[in-house]
Amino acid sequence: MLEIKNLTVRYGNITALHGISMEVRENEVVALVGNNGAGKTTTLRSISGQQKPVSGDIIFRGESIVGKPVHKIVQMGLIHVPEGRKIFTKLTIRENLLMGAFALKNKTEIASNLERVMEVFPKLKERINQLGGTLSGGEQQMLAVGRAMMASPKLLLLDEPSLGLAPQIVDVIGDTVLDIAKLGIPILLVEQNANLALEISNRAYVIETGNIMMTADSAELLKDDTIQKTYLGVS
Amino acid sequence: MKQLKQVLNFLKKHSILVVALIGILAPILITNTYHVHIILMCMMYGILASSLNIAVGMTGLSNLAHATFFGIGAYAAAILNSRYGLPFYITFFAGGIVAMAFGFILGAPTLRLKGVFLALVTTGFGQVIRILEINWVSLTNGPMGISGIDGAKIGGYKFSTNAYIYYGLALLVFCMFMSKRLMHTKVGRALFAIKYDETVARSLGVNLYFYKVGAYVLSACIAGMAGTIFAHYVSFISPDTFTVADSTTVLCMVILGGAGSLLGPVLGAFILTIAPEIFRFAQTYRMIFIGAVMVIGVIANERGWGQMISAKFKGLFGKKTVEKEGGKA
Repeated sequence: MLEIKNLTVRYGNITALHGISMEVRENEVVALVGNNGAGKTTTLRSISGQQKPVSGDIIFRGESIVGKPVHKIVQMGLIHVPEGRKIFTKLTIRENLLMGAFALKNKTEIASNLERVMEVFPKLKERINQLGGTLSGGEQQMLAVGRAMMASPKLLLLDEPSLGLAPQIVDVIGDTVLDIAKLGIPILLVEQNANLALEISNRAYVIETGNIMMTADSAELLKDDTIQKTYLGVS
Repeated sequence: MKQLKQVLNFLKKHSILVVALIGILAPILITNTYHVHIILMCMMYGILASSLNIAVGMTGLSNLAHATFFGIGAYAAAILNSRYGLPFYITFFAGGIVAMAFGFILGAPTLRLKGVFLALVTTGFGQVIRILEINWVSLTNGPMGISGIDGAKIGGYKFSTNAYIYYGLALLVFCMFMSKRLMHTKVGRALFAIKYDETVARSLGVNLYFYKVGAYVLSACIAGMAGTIFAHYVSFISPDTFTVADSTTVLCMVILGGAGSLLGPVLGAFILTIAPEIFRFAQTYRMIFIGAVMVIGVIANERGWGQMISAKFKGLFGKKTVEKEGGKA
């Protein structure tokens, strides 16, 4: 599905990613966990074309996407939900969602996607004509995810979906991610909240200062001693 | 309170109709030559504000060179007409195309810039074109300007001032209609998305460059067309007619009326064209009044005039109601 080979990214003199390699397969939720500044967001930004890597290759559905403009990558079905929700507060929820389907041309597909998003997020349906800014933080995150689903994603990149949300809501977000995965959309999830990420993912990569330190099934990582100490706050 | 809201909603829904009615009735009811001239200027500034709104209000690109595009259209018409004898119905489209080309020349390399920087670059562009108009004597006749532009004629019919007004009105209505159509389609949503958050717009698959340059070129094209009407109407143009100060005025009109709304910029244009004329008797003080109107306009801009006025009325007369908010976190 998605394969990253020896990806190196630099910001000026600072190397953010030292040749990382990773992979997302069909019907899989993959988590990328790590501390602040480890290079999680940079990885996602490189995949979605917003950051040009210095070297390395990114292959999506058998095609190299390095150097392609962002809108072309979106048209291929690789959708990035940016960190911090970033919904359009002054557009209505319907407009926000339709904006998500921007890359689609087929009207029936857009309508059926809207239907599907309404099913997954009944709360958005109730408020379809309200401005995006009137939603609470959790609902805004739902809207951001819903917006991404409007684009008929073949692969979803989620950047810190739990950021700044109350603990109960974080669980709801986790359930939503699982719901989406059930629809057969593979997800690459970036999280600082390692607990959440490892619980809902099949596999995980641990990234530290631009290097992949470890990769294993999430269930195993949850039990791993070092992981428990460094990321899960168990002592 | 309810009536006020109904009136506002009516205006919002049928804004094009309202402008068309005002435009059709005004020259019939008013016959004083000077006043008719002002109505024509209202139409010109209305078109400029409405077209600038596509770039500034909908896409969020600052532009301080809009009068320059107006001037480019006017110069194109003047040169084609006085030198090659082309009639109005050709210069009208030629002016639009030339302005479009200049819009592309300015927009293509600079639209990666944002906010203040874009404003500075466009101001510079306005000055460069002005200097070009003054110094390229063989083409533009320099500071003497171009005189003797034929009045507009279509077939055997020679335009009267009223005909210019109606022609301008038609262009204004066309521009508003197009903006309205834009606002409710995918393209319009993309433009608003660029205005509110470029990064997100990009990550949703909007080709930023294409839409930004497109909005700019479209807005320049309509301004150029308005310029040709103006050139044929006044029959004399010089570099002094289209200055950066005029561009600023047009931008003020858009901001005063509410950037991004349909009717707002046009009303802003009407107000800022008519008000200085009414207050001409108080020559020294009238700029103070206009300044005050501007300040209120900018404050109101966040929500638009309609909402600000109705909110104030609510505060004065109505019961206080808590605004609806979303559910808990």
